[in-house]
Amino acid sequence: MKLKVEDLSFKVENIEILNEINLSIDNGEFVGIIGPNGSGKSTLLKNIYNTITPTSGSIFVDNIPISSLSSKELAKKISTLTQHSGGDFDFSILDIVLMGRYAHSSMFSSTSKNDLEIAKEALVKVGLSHFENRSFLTLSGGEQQRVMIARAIVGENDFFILDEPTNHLDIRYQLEVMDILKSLEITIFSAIHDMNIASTYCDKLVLINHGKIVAIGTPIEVLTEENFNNVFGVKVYLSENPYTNKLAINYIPKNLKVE
Amino acid sequence: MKAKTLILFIILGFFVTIFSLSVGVINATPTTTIKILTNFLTNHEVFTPDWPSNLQLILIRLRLPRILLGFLVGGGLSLVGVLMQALTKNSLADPYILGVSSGASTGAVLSLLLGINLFGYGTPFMAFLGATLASVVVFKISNLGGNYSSTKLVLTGIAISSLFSAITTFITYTANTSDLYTALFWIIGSLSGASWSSIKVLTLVLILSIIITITFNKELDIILLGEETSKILGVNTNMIRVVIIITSTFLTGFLVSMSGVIGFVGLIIPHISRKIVGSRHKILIPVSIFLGGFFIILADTVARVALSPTELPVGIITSFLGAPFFLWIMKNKIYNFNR
Repeated sequence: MKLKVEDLSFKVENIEILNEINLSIDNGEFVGIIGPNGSGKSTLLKNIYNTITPTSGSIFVDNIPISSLSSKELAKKISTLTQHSGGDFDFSILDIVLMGRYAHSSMFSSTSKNDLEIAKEALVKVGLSHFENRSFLTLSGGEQQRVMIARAIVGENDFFILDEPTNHLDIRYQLEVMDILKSLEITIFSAIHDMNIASTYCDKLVLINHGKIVAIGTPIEVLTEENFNNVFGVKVYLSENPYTNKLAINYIPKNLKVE
Repeated sequence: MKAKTLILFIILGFFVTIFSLSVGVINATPTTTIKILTNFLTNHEVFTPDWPSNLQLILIRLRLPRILLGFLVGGGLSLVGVLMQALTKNSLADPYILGVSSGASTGAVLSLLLGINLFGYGTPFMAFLGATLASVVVFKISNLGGNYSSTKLVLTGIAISSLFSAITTFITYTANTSDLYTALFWIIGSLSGASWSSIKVLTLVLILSIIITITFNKELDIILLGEETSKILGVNTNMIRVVIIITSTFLTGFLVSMSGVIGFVGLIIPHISRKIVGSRHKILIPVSIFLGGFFIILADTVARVALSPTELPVGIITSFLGAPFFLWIMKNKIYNFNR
């Protein structure tokens, strides 16, 4: 088992953000977490990648409680990709990607040949091999996100946590980013905004609302008309995409007049 | 830093030094200056003196210590600027603006007027104490690490800076006339107090600070990407913050105790250096130190000759150049830095 979350609760000033969350993820699974804005998706992920500490409950990665790990040790188990994590400073793409090697470096060592090779390989994987010396700030949103993925790749972990990796990207880049992630064949736990992306790429989905898990299961089990209605307050028409054989979600607006 | 760049800086340093040594109330030709310097460094009369003996005295006893102190102070202030900017992820951060220098200055002036000696280390100790107090207050109030915003930090720094300046002014106002001139020295910033003993101490302190900061160069790079990203990548951000705050407060305390508050260097030089070599601290730190050092040497040369034979405190020159530069940065937003 890759990840186990047990009775996790998280409060801020007595307001319950997460309430008794229990879930587990097996090796190699691509799991999406979905839910309305403010439902607690990001907070749950933050508890797992440990930038905030649970009020109660425990989290295990590879059966080790994360509370017993230093930031460096945890960075050798989980590669995390958050929204806007490139910064505004002028670094080259290669510099940014090499930062992903930090957890593997010792105090006085400088960048090794091995680090450089790993970083360049990662840039090939995300299709940016000719860009290494360009300034990160000159890249488009899609390219920046691919650099972030390369930075996660060089951590050499088989577990990624992603917070809406395709947010703000054009549809073409959304698919491109998801394709790259899928091709890595590792365990992934990702917050996903777009339901069709979630149903296309995920093996399993976790639906949360008001800090509680509403449903866990395959996309077909979770993305039901009833759940859309109850959790998102939206009517949907579900069909099957004949090309991908995946569930397709079609939204039905309340007030749209159809002629 | 590559060997080529280092050689370039050493050559540049040579020219700056010869220029600054040659220029003053009494001018020497560069050739004479090189001859005098060679004799001094080798401790032999390699060149037979064909210059007045007081010229040698002025160059070696008066100007050379100032040049060395200027280099150390300029380099040190630039290093503190780099560290403060990394800490706050804010391009407007420098020891002057964040109030740390003013705190140090208050401490230094207090030690003088109260006659706190402490085996000769009273002034640096008090300056260090003042710097610590100012930085603790600024970072506490602006809530660094918690719900912190860089605007809040800069504004807190300005408030603390004014407060400490007011205290310094109050102390000097109540002091007698003979102490007034010494106090003025710390308020404006000057290199006229240069001595070989202060140069020795400051060299040690600066080397120590460089070793510490270069050791953490990777962490300094990463924290520019923000608190959360740093943690995710495995950086112990609390530890780095403590290292930065202690190193820069310690260094600022020493710098201010020897030269007073020389403003804007810690702001201008890191900016220019970033523009030239980028944001990687492994290169940024040495380049900032060299450029900062050269800048102060040249500014002090201007300070010595501008109203010759009257001498100006170098702090006036750096502020004259620094303030417009600062405004120019704001106006043009030429850096993709802290949007």
